[in-house]
Amino acid sequence: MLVMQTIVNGLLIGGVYALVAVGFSLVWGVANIINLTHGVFVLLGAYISFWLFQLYHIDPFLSIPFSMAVLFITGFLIQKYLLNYVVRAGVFMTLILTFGLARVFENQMIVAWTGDWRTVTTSYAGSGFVIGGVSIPYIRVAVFILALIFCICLNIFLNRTKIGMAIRALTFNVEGARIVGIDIGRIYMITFAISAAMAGAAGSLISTIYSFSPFLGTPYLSWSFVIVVLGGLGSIYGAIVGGILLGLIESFSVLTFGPGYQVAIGFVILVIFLVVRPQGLFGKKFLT
Amino acid sequence: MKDRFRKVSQVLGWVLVVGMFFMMQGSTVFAATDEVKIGASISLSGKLTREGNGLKEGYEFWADYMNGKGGIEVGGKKYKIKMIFYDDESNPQRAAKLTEKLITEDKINLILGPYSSGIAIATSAISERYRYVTILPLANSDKIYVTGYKYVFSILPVASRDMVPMMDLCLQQSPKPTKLAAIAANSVYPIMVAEGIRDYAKSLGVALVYFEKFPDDTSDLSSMLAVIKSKNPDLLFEAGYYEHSILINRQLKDLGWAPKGLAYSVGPQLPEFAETLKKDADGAMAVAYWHRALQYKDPVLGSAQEYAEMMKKKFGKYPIHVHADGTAAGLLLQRALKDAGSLDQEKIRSALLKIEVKDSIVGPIKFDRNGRNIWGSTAVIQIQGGDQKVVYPEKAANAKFLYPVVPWSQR
Amino acid sequence: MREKMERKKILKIVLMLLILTLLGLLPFHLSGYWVRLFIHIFMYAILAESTNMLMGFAGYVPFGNVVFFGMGAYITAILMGKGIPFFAGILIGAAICFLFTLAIGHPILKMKGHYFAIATMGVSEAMKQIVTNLDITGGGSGLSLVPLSLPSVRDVYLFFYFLMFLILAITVLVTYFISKGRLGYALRAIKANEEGAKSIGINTPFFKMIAWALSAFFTGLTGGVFAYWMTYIDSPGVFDIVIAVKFIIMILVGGAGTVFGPLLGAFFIEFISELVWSKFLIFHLTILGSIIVLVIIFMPKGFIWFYQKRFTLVALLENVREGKV
Repeated sequence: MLVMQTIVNGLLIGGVYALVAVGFSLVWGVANIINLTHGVFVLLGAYISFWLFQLYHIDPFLSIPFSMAVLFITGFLIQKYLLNYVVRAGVFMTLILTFGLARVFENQMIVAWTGDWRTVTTSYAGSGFVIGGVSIPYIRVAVFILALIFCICLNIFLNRTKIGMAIRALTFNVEGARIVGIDIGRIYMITFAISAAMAGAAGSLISTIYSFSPFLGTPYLSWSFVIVVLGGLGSIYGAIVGGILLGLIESFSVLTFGPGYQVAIGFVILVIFLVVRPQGLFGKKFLT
Repeated sequence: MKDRFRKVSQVLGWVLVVGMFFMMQGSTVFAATDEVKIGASISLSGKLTREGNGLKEGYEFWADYMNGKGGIEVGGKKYKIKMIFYDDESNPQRAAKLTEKLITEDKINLILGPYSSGIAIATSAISERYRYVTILPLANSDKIYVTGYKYVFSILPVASRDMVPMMDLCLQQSPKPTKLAAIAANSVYPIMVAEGIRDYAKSLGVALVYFEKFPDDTSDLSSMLAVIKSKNPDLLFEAGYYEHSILINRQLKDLGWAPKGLAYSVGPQLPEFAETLKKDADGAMAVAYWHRALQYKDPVLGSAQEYAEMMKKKFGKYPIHVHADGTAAGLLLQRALKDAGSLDQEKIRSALLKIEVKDSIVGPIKFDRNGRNIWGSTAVIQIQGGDQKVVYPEKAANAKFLYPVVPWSQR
Repeated sequence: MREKMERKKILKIVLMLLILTLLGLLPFHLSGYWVRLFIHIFMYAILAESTNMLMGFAGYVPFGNVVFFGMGAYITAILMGKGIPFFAGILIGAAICFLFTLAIGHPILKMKGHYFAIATMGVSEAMKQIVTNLDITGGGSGLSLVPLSLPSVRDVYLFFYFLMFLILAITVLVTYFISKGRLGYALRAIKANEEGAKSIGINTPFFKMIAWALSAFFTGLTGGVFAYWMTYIDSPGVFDIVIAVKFIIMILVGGAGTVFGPLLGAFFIEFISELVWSKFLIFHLTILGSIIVLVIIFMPKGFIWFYQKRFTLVALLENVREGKV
C-alpha cells in the first residue's frame, strides 16, 4: 500500500515535471539555446496565478491562459531583442546570457513582490479521494491531467501546423531550412515564446500544489536539465516519459534512502545517462 | 575620428577608475556624536520573513523606547541608539557578508543577532573574527555554543531540550504513546532539536519508528509523510521553521492521516499558523520560548503583560516570542554596557559573563563560559479553537492539554 | 625591430614588478575593507586562472569546477577538525581533488561541448546534496573551523592576503609554463581540432585529464584557504554554481586562453561586483545580471581581444553582427 502511494505520488508529480521541462527541451533542441531563465519563467507563471487569485479571486486553473499569454510575449521579446544576437556565437553564450537575465528577473521579483513564500490555497485544496488506502488529492490529479494535455497539444502543434513543422525543420537541418526560405530568426522567436508559455502554464499549475518564492526557481531548472538528458533533446515524448520517470525515481528514493537524497538522485542519473546514453531515451544527439 | 574616440574612451576609463576609488571611500563617515550605531542582519524576506520581521520589531521597540527616555547610558554619558538593519533574505552566506559590511564599512559599534541558528552560525563566524560581541536572542542550537566561540551569548536555553516538555506532556496521557517519528529540516537548529528529542525518547523507552532529515528548502514532503503514515507512530515531532510546518500540516491533510500527538518546533508559535490553516491548525503543539501570559517582569519595562500592551499599541498586534526575545536582547545589551562602562568589546564581553539577571521580560538569564543561558526554560503552547494556549508548565498554563489530535475528517 | 621588441619586453617586466611591489605594500597602507576586497579578488583570480587551464586552452568548459572548491574547503575543514595543521590540510585537499579528476576524468572528458559542461554541473550538484547529508561534513549544520589566532584582526587579514597572493602567483606561473610548453601546444591543438590532433598522434585524453586535474588542484587549494578564512562553511555556500558561472565569465571577459586574461577579468568583475553590492544592495543582482548580458552581446571574446582591437566601437558592433541569427 505504501508502494502504491509512492507510485501515485511519483506519477502525479511527474506530469508537472514533464510540463516544466518540455519548453526547455524544445528551445534547446531547436535553437541550441540553453535557457537558464526557464526556472524564472515558471516562477512568473506561478506569481501571475497567485496575484490574480489574491487580488481578483480568479481560480488558478482559469488563470492559465493569461499567464501563458504574458509569458509568450515575454519570451518573444527576449528572443527578438537579446537572444537572437548571440545565438550564432555559440551555446555557451546563450547559457551565460540567460544566466545574467535570470538574475535580473529574480532581483526584480524580490523587489516587487518580496521574498515571502506564496501559495494558492483554494477552497477545494486538501480534499481528494481514497482508493484502497491510497489517498489522491483532487488538485494533483487535475494538475497531472492538464500537464499531459498541454504536452500532447504541443506535440500536435509541432506535427500538424505549418509553423510547427518549420520549427521541427530547424531541429534537423538549419542550413536546409534557411535554403528553403524559412525565416530562422522569426522561428526562434516563436519557439522561445512557446517554450516560455509552457513554462508559464506549468508555473500556474505548480502554484496550486507547492509554495514558491523568487529564490525557488532553481529546482525547476534542475528538473529540466535532468529530464532533457533522460528523455532526450527536443522530444516531447521524451519530456513526458522523462518527467514521469524522474517523479517516480524521486518518490522511490525517498522510500529507500530517505528524503535527503531526493535531489542528488536526479543529478546522479543525469551524469550516468550522459556517460552511457547521452541522447537519452528518445532524443537526437546534441549539436556540438 | 577613430583616434578621437580612442582618446575619449581612455579619458572616460580613467574617470571611471578614479571615480570608483572615491566611491569606495564614501562610508567612512563617523557617527554623529552621542550616538551608538547598532547593526543587525535580519531575515526580512525569504523563508524566515515572518519570524525575522518580528525580531526587527522587537529591536525597534527597545531602541525607540530607550531613545524616548534620552538614550542608553555608557560610562556615565547618554547615547541615542541608531539601529541599522539589513535584509539577509534568510540566506546565511548573505548574512555573513552583511555582518562584515556592518563592521567594516558601516562601522557599527555593536551587533545584535539574527533570527535562526542557521544564519547565526554564519554571522558568528564573522563577528568572532572581528572580536565583536553578539547577543543572540533567537539562535539556540547547541552547535553554536560548542565551537569555542567566545563572543556569542544566547538568550534562549539550548535547542536540544526544546521539545522535552512536550514529550513529558504526551507521556502523561493514556493510552500512553509508544511510537515516535521525529523529522528535522536539514539545518543547524532543527537537527539539534530532533536529535535532542530522539535521545530523550530513547532514554524513556519510547520506540523511534522513523528519524530523518529533510531538505531545508523542499517544496514537497508527501513521499516522506507517506512512509511515516505507514509506520503509524503515535507521535510526530517535527523540527523546522514556519514554512515547513505549514507544508507538513497541509500534506498530512492531503494524506488523510494525523498522529495522536503532533508537535512543531516553530509553526504554531506564529499567529499566522492558525490564521492560515484555520481548523486544520487545532491540536498542533509548539515550543514556547515566551508568552505574554507568563509571569515575567523587567525593572525597566514592567511586566510581560505591560510590555505586550505597549507593543500592541505600537504595532497593532500582540507580541510573540520573537518580539520579546529581541527586546530582551536590547535590554541585556544595555545592562552590559552600563556594567562595562564603555563600548569596548572585551569589556562588554566580561560584563556579560558576570551578569546575573533575575528579572527580565523573558525570564532569568545567566551565561556559562560558552554563552549558553543556563537559567532559561521553555513552555509548551497548543492551538485550541484557533488560539494559542499555554499548556505547560502547570503554573503558567491557561488551558488543558488536548490529546489525541482530532482526525481531519472530523473537523 | 628586434630592439623594439626587446624594449617592449623589458617594459612589460618592469610594469609587472611595479605592480607586484604595489600589491605587496598595499595592505599595510589601506583599511581592512580594501584588504578584504583584494583577498576576494585574488581568490577569484586564482579560480579563473585555474579553470582557464582547461577551458581557455582546450576549449572544454567545466561548469562544475566549483565542486573542487567545495571539496577542498570541506576536506581542509574536516582534517583541521582532526588536528591536522592548515598547510597540510589544504595540500591534501588539493591532492584529493587532483586524484578525483583522474578517477572520473576518463568517462567525463570523453564528452564534448555542452555534454561535458552539463556532466560537470551534475557532478557538482550531486556532490552538494551528498555533502549536505553526510555526518562527517556536519550535514545541514555546516562545519566550523577553529579560527587562526593572531595578536590582531589585521594580522589575520595580512596572512590571508599574502597567502592568496602567493597561490595566485604560482597559478599564473604554472599557466605561463603551460602556455609555453608541450601541454599548451597539445591543448590548443585539441581546441582547434580534436580529431585532427588525435590523428597526428597527440594523446588527447591524457592532456585533457592533466589540464583538468591541474585546474582541480588549484581550485581545491583555494577552497581550503577559503574555509580557514571564513571559519564556517556550509554546503550551499561552497558548492554554489553562481561562483562557477562567475569565474567562467571572468575568463571570458578577460580573455580565455591567455595568461593574464582571467586575472584581468577577475579583477574587473569582482571589483565591480563588490562595489555594486555595497552601494546598491537591493539592486545589485539586476546590475550584475545586466552587465553580464551586455558583455555577452558586445564583448564575448574578452577584454584582451578588445584591447587588441584598440577599443573601437566598430569592433563591438562587429560582435553583435557575428552572433546574430
